[in-house]
Amino acid sequence: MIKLISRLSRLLAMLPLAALTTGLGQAESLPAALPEPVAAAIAAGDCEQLIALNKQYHAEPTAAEHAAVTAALEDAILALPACGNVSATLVRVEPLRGVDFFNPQSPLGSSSLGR
Amino acid sequence: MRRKIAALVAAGLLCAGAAQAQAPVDKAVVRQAVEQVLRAWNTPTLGHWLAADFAERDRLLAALSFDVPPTARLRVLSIGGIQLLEQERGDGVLRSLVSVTVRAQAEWEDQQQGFQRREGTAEYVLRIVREVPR
Repeated sequence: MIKLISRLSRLLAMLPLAALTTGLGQAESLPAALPEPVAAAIAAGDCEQLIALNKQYHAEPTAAEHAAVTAALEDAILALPACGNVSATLVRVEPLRGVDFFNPQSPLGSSSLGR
Repeated sequence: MRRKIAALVAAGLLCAGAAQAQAPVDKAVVRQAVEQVLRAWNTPTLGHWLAADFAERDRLLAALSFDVPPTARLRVLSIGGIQLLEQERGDGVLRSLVSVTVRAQAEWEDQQQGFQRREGTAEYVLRIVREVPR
């Protein structure tokens, strides 16, 4: 029993390494057979090329490999930090010091002035 | 025994996969968003930058229209640490909730008292949505 626990604990210690070596720790894993230009764009992390290819494959939805390819392309696009259409909105403001400019009661602090 | 070990390894690998690293959020994008939001403060375009679920959104927009001098503007003095709070992946879309500490200053010219300024530091929580063009 002690031997088994010892073996299991050694095995558990190896898991992160196993995850790395199999690529599961990466942002995306590539499908087995991607078309060469797709694989090349993914390997290069070329944002413009990835977007162009994604549009191209979306325009040809009948292609047999379409789903796997577009999934791989979209994973690759979203794994790049600034690739794709970006939009931002302000959700909330937590004041820390001084005036809270987004406080509806007094956006300029106690000295809010009328117009 | 070997089969049990293999099952254990498979379960471990699944857990490792489930806990994949979150996609990075470009700090430049966050900084740019903060600059744009604060530049829009006290202007008619602020409404575009406030999320629909921003608390007391309409009251804030009204307060800015009535309680703040029309020429008052915010200037970013410093942008501090950026932290990823949440991330959610949808179909061709990545939604990230980030917080960023910003020190800013409101500045305006008062006809009687001359140049005025007020400083404030706050944690701004932004929703950054990245969509794959199709």
